[in-house]
Amino acid sequence: MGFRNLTSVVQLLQISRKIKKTKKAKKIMKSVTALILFTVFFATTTACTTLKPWERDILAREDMQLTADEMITLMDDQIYYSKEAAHGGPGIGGGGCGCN
Amino acid sequence: MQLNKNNNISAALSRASLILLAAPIANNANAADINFSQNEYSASAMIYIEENRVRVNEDVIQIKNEISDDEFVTATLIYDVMSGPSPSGAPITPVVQTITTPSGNQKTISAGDEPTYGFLDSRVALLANWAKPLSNDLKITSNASFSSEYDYISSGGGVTFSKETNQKHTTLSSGLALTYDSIKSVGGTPEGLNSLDLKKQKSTEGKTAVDWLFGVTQVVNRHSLMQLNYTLGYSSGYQSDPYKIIAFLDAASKTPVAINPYYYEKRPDTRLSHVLYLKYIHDFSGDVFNAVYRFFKDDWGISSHTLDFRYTFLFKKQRKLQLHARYYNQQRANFYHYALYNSAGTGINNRDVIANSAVGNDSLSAELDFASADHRLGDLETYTIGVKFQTTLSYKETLLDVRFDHFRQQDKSKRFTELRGWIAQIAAKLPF
Repeated sequence: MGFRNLTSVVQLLQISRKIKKTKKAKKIMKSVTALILFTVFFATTTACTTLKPWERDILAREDMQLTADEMITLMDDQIYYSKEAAHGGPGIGGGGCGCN
Repeated sequence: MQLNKNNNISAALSRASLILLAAPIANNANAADINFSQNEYSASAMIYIEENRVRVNEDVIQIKNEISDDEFVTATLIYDVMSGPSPSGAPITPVVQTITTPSGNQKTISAGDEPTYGFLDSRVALLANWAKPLSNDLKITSNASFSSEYDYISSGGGVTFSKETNQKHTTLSSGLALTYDSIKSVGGTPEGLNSLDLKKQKSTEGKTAVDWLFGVTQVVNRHSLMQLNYTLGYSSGYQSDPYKIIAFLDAASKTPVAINPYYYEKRPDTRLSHVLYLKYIHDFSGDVFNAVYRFFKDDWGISSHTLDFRYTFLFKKQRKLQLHARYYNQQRANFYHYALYNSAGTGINNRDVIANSAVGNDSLSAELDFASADHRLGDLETYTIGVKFQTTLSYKETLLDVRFDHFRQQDKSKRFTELRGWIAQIAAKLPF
């Protein structure tokens, strides 16, 4: 499964080289790039180990959670939101501010 | 001593049984969403200081309560006070500048200094989060938020569904959030590209934002976990910063033109953005490596890359030391200008030049659709390094975090003073 996905990535890269850099092509390239990222992600994860419930002890630890360091993340998100033009990523919601 | 040991064993057994029963995969939906069956009080105090600029004191209190099996309600109260000078958008010039502030006063800026506006504001925000299982592998998370400042009110809500598949190795999430912001700036909300001296005021402006998220979380093996999120964002309404201005300079002298040298900035009414967010967590026998890559792009022309790494060392007695490094690289918005010029000249980019005949006009709307000199929309880089120490107190296994971060931000052309900031924070989490 993983090998098939990697083959698809190579094919996509070959196709992308043939596309001329017109405006339409640039849009296509963006979609292709996104697709490649998704494909690489799943190509690497399809070979994942299957865990039994009792083998999840490490993953269940608090410091292995995606939302660990919540209070720090909350502050950092607001600081960088007020200093940079990009925002978002880990989740949605949470409200805005008129940050200076 | 014996009592503490028994408590620790009891807590460990309780947690282990929960692990076996629930076998949770962390959910990516919201920051307040942690899957432990444990009620908690959390509190945090933070001081944020910029060199010669803004200072923020921010306090947070949070209560998380399990109201039934795996059903959690979390309420968070935030209070912050912000003060200090913030850049106005006007450039550094070799002559003295006199600029009208938002409150209508005249401010004189010395030659060679960066023009800023001073401000003082406080903010109260309330966040609520409700996570409820709908079936064995499907969960709904709802959230609501309200934030109020003197000149800005924001309210919003959202819903996220998460489904576990592949024997709970994969979690698929999809969510929608809606936010409405109301802006009522000091001295009235200005119309963009109008001269400061001929201010046209509107009472209140509004902005609506919609975010749609699709996420995949995958257990890689017993020691690692990956998350990939895509967020599509669309906002509509007043998106300008009412306190930011842009200067019109004479190309030969690089000084403000004699008549109407400053204008309010103007940004497009709509913004479409895409965010790709990839996170990887790996355990090294107790140490934890955490890596994030984020790609952001919008139809204003802004694109950015963010890298964030944290490595946590585990010491005896559950004490932890975390090292943090972050890098941010941004490409400017199409309508960003350092300043506007009346003709081409040395060191002047052609895209910043508008017709000399526009000098003295009350409005630049005929010459430009949009313009901003807010350097947060420009080409810039941010570097952050930090350290965090965590310990577990004997009282009810309270977790205590202390952290310090330092960051530096610089526009790539190095025309502005480098921004240097420090963050100090202390946070505690108390189970009950």
